[in-house]
Amino acid sequence: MEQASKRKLKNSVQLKFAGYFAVLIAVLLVVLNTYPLQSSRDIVFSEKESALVNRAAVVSSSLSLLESLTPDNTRQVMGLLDVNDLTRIMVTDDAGLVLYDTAEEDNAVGRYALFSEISRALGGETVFYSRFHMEAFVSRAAMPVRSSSRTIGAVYLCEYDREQADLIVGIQHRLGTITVVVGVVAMVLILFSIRIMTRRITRLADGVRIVQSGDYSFRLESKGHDELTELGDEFNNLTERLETTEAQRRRFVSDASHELKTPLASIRLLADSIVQSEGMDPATMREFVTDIGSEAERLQRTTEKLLNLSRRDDGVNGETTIVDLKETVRGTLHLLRPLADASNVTISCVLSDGCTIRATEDDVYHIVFNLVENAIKYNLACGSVFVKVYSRGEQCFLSVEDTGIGIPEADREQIFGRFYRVDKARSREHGGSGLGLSIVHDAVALYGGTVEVSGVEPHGTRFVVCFPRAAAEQEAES
Amino acid sequence: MKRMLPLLLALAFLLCAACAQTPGETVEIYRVRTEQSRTNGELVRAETMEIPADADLIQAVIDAFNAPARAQDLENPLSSSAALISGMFEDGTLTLEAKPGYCVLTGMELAQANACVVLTFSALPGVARVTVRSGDRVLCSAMTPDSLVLTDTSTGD
Repeated sequence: MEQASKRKLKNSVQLKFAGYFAVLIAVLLVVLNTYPLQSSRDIVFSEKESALVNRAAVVSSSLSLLESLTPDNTRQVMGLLDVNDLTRIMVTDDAGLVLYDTAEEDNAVGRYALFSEISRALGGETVFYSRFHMEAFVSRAAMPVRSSSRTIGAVYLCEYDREQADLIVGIQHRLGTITVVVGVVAMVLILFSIRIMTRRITRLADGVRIVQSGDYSFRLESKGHDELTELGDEFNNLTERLETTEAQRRRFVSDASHELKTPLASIRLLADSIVQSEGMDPATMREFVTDIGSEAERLQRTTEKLLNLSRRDDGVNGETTIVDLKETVRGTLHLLRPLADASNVTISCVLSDGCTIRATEDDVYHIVFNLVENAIKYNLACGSVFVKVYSRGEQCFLSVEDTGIGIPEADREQIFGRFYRVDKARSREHGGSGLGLSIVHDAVALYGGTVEVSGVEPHGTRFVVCFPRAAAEQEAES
Repeated sequence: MKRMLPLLLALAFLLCAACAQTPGETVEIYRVRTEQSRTNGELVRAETMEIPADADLIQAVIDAFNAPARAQDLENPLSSSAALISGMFEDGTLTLEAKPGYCVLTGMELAQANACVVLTFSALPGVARVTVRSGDRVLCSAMTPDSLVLTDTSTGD
């Protein structure tokens, strides 16, 4: 929250969005106010030019019937024409002397009209000029009067039109009003929308900060069906995973501490007993020392397995090769024969050829070792262990089946969890740490395989590990 | 000596300023708009020119009138062959003598030239009318500014 407040106003997403939209709306409104008005004026200018020039042409052609222009004959001709609706009509001779003028105030008859329009008309041009000035259209047209191929004078027309101008001004005012209303409404809507959108983003950012501080139980409320909702859902999934992972981590640390602490405590107790007992008989002392050795071994095994798992978690794995399952199983079983013999358990195996997988030899060894060792340790007296290696299609299978105590169905889902033991007492008795099946599971998953557990009738457990098959020729190619 | 130096410099500056010519008067000389610039509105327009204060006013204005226009969009209505030569003032009428080239002007050209001359010289103190002659010919007879219409005021421009 403090970071949010520290963010400068100019960097705010809200302000940026509002700014962009404000500029866009301003541009649109300027265009709305400018283009229609300009187009309307252009249309009016065009109409005026057409009308005024045509009327000038009528006057000019009427006067061109005269040989020369005088005030009298000009007045007579003009009297026959219907031109009273114009603001001013002026007729001059070829020197610019005004012969006829309809202006009531400041009539120019008998004076020289030094207008640019008249000068250009006397030069032979047809002139038109119009502009929107002081809320009126002021238009002027001038045309030469020609008779017998010579210019004898000029006609000058002037129109002052307020009606059309009032129309344009009215449109302008209405557009202005619409502009203001639309602008205000648009900005209000935009600001409102931006606030809603950025509020959700801000909530997400707050959520990230809360999770960052360690509270993995925080969840965002899921509303709507848009991209931000999707982002929120993904955030919730992520925090759920974080929460689960954190819980697992804490449990693992707790379990690891307990597993390490227990043999250490036993060693300490036994050592203290030896030290504090004076005159202990050698047999008892040997027994105590043997127990110390056993606990130390257990500690060593647990530590090695923890290291193995830790390396796997860090992604540290050796270089893989093509491993022949049959050979690895055979070698591992050979190592476990003494344990089996000591436990009065029989190991039998059916190992097929051609079951090659891509893995490290060590990992395959650990998988086989842990499965078979468990099958021996959790077996009954005079029990059996059946190990099979076979292939089917593009897959290789390792099956380890025992006639032991079995795993209750309720525990089968969890036995691959770290430090999980179905029967803690029995497991400890056999020196188990609860990590062996975790190592099997993680190692199998690393190579794209699966491991399944099921019960065997009348009692016992079967583990089936499935690997993707790797052809032996790949080794030569690689 | 060093202390006196600033004082001496100031005195020298004042002396130079006193010796300088006094600023001249300004007059409005009327010109005609060039072909390219006469799109609409008035045909003639004045430009301000300076004339020496101690010179003969009429002759100074004549000389200024004969000079080329300064503004890019204006031009002198009189060519060098139609330039004004001299002027005589009597009873409110200023009679100007022009070169023979003035007689060649006709129609609108003559009207423009007369208008510029009348408007320029009518602004001089005491001048009510202007006449232009060239030899025996009277080219502009006792014209006043009232005989000219420079803009169309019917539209409020």
